Amino acid sequence: MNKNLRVRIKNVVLKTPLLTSSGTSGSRDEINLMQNRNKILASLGAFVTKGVSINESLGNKEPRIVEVRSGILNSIGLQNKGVRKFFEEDVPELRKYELPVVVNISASSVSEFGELSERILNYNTHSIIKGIEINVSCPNIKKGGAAFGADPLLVEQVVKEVKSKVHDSLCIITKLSPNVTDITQIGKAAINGGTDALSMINTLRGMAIDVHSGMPVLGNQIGGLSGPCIKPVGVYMVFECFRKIPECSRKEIPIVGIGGISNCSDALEYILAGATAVGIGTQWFINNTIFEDIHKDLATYLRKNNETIENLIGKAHGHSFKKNPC
Amino acid sequence: MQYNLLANYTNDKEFKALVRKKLSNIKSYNAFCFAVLNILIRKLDIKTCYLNKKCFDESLLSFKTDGHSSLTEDKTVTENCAFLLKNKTTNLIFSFGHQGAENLQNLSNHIYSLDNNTFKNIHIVLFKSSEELDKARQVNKATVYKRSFFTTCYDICEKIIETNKVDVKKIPSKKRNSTLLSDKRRDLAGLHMVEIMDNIPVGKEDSKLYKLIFKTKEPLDIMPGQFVMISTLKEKNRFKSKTIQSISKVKPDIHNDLQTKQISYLKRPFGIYRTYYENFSDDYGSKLNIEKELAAILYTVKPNRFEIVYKVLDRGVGTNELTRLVKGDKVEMLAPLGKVFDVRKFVKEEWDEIHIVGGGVGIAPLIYLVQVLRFYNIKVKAFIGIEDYKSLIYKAGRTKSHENTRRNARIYIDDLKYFGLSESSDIYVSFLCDTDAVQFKGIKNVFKGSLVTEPYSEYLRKHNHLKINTFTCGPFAMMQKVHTVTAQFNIKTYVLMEKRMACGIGVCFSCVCKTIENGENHNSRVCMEGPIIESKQINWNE
Repeated sequence: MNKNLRVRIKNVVLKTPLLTSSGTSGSRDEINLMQNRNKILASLGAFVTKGVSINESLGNKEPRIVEVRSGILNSIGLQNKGVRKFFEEDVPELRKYELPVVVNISASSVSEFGELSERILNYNTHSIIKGIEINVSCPNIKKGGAAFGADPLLVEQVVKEVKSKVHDSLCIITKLSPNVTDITQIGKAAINGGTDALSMINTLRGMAIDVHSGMPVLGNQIGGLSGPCIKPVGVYMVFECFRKIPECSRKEIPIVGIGGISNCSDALEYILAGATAVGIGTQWFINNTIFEDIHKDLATYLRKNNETIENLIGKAHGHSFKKNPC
Repeated sequence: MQYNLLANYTNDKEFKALVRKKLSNIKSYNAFCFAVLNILIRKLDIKTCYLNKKCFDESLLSFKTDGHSSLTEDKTVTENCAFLLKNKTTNLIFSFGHQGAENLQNLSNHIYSLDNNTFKNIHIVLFKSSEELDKARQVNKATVYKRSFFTTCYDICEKIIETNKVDVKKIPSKKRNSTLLSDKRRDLAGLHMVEIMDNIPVGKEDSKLYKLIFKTKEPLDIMPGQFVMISTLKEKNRFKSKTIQSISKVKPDIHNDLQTKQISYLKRPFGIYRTYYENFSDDYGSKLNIEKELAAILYTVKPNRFEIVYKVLDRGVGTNELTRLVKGDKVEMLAPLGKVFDVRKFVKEEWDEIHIVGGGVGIAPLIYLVQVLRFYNIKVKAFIGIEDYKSLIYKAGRTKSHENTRRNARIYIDDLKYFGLSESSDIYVSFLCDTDAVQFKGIKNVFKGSLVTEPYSEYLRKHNHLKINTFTCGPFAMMQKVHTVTAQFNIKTYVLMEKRMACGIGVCFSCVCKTIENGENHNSRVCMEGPIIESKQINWNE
């Protein structure tokens, strides 16, 4: 194992800083159907599942995806089979990955988040699940459909509720939405609620209209934008949180940088901005060797410059330095 | 391999006695293979013409030859082969994989040249294990095995067990796999760099149908119903990694394109239209005539040349990019994807006819299904719906570059003919427009100004005593109608579903299709649970 690449999120040790992003790598054995599965799994530090909710959800109307310039818009609608089936059918398959698994959860009310975390804790008899990623971008049904993610008070409540159920047995990551005026406020709220780490960013809200029919392309009309086009936004938000949230600057609360990472220098940008680990999502659809590519390039970069990831985190906030390119 | 365990699975006394015998040496193993093969083909009109005494022990020396073949006079054959069978007019020359590469190469080359693409002399190599068989199927072995067919003794035994099964419960659940859609013998999905060989326009002047021909470096087992995802832009690969160094290499105009025009980002999914095997002539399907029972145990080399057919959409970013690919271009392809439709399992049922019902560009993936079904000697009838006759003809000016597209050559129809379907009795063509073509060059069953489903339901009405299975692909409304029609006659129907996709590997949940399972509604991923889906599972009403 390459020690230079090793990072830590709370008590979970990641052998590389590369994570899958929720919703882009499935929730069971999909990676095992790939020829290069061993290389992929060797390059990953942890596996983040697709969003899981209490009950089965059929997802949104079609079309669910549309390609835009340098990215995609999607509105899958959190299709999943519910937490019980997830543990019955998918988790046994996930064991084969031999990676720390983080379950992404979503719910429509604060109490539902609590119930969901409690169930995960109870089902997790083999301790395959090492962490929970709270998706606060889902609509809060009780509050008329507005997303939790934009309201600092609600985010704090949700995180508190989850924390009160799982205590210290699972690592809690809160995934922040970029669709807010000041992401640092939300980040601080999550930290007040007791989160162990922050991940950002979720997709940016967006839409596409078919000028020939005059109608929105997506079945759900609006969707989430992801892909290379959102990377500058993601890097900025990581940078802001690292700078403005003291717990982040002190590296007590690690940040997982997500959004448009397509190669090694993209990943480095996030790390320099303040991310401890990075999530790769949409690019995995385009390039199925992305994890091993970045893993290899990153290792070479660190060796060439005699560096470690730990040491590079947040370097963009300090003095400038000259390094051999990635 | 524990052959004696196989005895538990069958009631066939002869087979039981055979597999319980101890095999002491290679000669008795050879004899065992010969004997089990004889059980498999005992009901067929196959005669033994020659046995090579060098290969077998005494237990077989008393075995009498009961047929005659001119090949018994051929020294290269008799010295190198293990035994020689004759099925009607076809010579089946068998050899063992352990006979040595030189022997096999001599024999394969000899048979290949004397056969001269008539497919009346077929060389079959029997391997000990499926690993050896898989190795032989690699295309770089095509020089050693030329145009040979392969099988293993275990495949033969499995086939015998299948036909004389005992209580299914006795068979371990791993072997019992009852579903036709499975991941068995599937090459794992991987990224391949493919080289474009040709990109041929088809149809009328304003038509936007193309046939794309490409080859892969490594051969690839893509089964019917499976699909590939192709990157439609060759320049795209330059932006994959280490961007800084490569950006200077990009031509200025392309660079501008990237800034202002929409270019494709995702790969595009396509069903396979045809595959080609090294050393097999293009029209092998119309000549190859191996009895079903025997064909079901045979394997060929894996294909390394593929064709897809695509229709360019007016505002389609990806399909427009595809048209710009020319010979020599290299693009990335992720393949094979999707569930495998187990044709070997499927053909063991006694079907009278298999029907394909296709509309427009949806006919394309059905053609590959026909190609594979015909290998197993299954009777196929094709019902296809096209706009008009002209949209079948390859565009002029391409006659020299590709043999298959010489003057007046037709897409779909000519390939069906290559697979041995008769233009006069097996192919039914419906033209949506009241096409004014004076003659249809041999196609007898022509329906003008008609949807494909009309003559199809008429055909079913007249032939409702037959055991039929239907495959359909085309516009949603057409497939829905086919489902309604076949449901009337209780005909099992499979749909080749198409959806907008992003990943192709089951992780993004974009390509869902509404299905019903045990009375519950589901959204099934077409790339994972499909693309072949049984029509009764689809929720057609939503």
